[in-house]
Amino acid sequence: MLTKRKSRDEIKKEFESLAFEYMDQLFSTALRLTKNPLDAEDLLQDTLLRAYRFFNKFQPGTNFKAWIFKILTNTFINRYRKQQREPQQVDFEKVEFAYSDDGKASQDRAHQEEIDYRVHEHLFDDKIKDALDRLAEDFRIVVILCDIHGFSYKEIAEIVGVPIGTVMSRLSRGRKQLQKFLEEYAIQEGYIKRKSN
Amino acid sequence: MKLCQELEPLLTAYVDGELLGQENKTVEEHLKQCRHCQKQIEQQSALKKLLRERYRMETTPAHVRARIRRWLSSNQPVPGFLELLGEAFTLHRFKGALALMTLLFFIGYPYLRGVVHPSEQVEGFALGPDQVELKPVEVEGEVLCVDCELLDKANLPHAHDADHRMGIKTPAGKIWNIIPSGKGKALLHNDQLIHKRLRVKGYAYPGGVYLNVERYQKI
Repeated sequence: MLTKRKSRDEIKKEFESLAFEYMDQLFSTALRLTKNPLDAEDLLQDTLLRAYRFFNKFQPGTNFKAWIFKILTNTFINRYRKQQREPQQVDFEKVEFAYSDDGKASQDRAHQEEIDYRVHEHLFDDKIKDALDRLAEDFRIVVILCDIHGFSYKEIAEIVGVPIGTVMSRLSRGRKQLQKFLEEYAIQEGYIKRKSN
Repeated sequence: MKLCQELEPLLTAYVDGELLGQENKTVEEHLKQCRHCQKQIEQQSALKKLLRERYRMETTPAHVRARIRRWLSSNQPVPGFLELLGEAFTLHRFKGALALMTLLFFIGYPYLRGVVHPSEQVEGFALGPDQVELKPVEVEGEVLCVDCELLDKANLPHAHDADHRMGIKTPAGKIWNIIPSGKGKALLHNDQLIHKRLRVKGYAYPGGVYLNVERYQKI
């Protein structure tokens, strides 16, 4: 009994250290997937909750990062995709709130937090994030997993649940679109040269 | 040019160092003679580099970290019923609310049927039609979000919500709930007041947990 309890505590400690190690990467990805800070918070929490529940199924020594990213992606696909497709009413509220001088509106701290995030996000690298956000979801996921988190094709195939060939073609098409969105920025930052005619 | 189009996904894999053997050879052979595809490779590599170097990872907000840490360090090794309920709320606010309402309905059903009279159950809580006696009170304390407080105490992951209700916590630690009538309406969902100290005059309901606010002032 005593040994069992101790090992449970150990498991919890192990999970905690892994969860905190990857938390920012998960949160950042959640933001790119949901495009909304409040949903991203929820998605992160759901992911960790599920990961904790199924942590006994995780085999020590195998790839934790790929394992927890798979949970994140699955949770997102199953639960957030539908909600996210709702029309622009939410945007309207945000705009109305942002420009309103009405003190009452400022009571909604949740919205305030969301705007803080947005302001914060736009101060840095907005071009890259905006460009990623413009990609279709299927493309966005593989580009983020490959180019930002450095997963291999095999790992991405496992995380997203599609064959390696599909990963390859989605990446190819996703990068092509990104190139278009980011061409000016890449030139300006000296990553590519302006086309000489 | 048709060959170039067919090779496109392979070029991507080439950039990522994912090609082996024959495929790798095919691409390299092709690159020797195709300026167009060379350019493709250069551009994709530049894009990859741009993303790797310039993408700024967001950090998890402190309140989210704190909440997760609290939840993990709670004494329940395996998420139990409350966590499941909490999860239902974070995932599907509507369905979660429905589940809770169903639960409350079953708990409250005997009361509704008149099987159990409330006053028989809770000591000092007599809310019969002609028994309500309001006591004038003056309360001093700090405004807090009662819902967040409850969820925190239960170690449930949650986010503050506009629907949450404010309450007043006295220095002794007693939490007063506010009835949404009269001045109470202005207090109930006003989370701008959180952590502000208030002096409130009003009427306490029997049992002393609910407060009908008559007026309040910041102190």
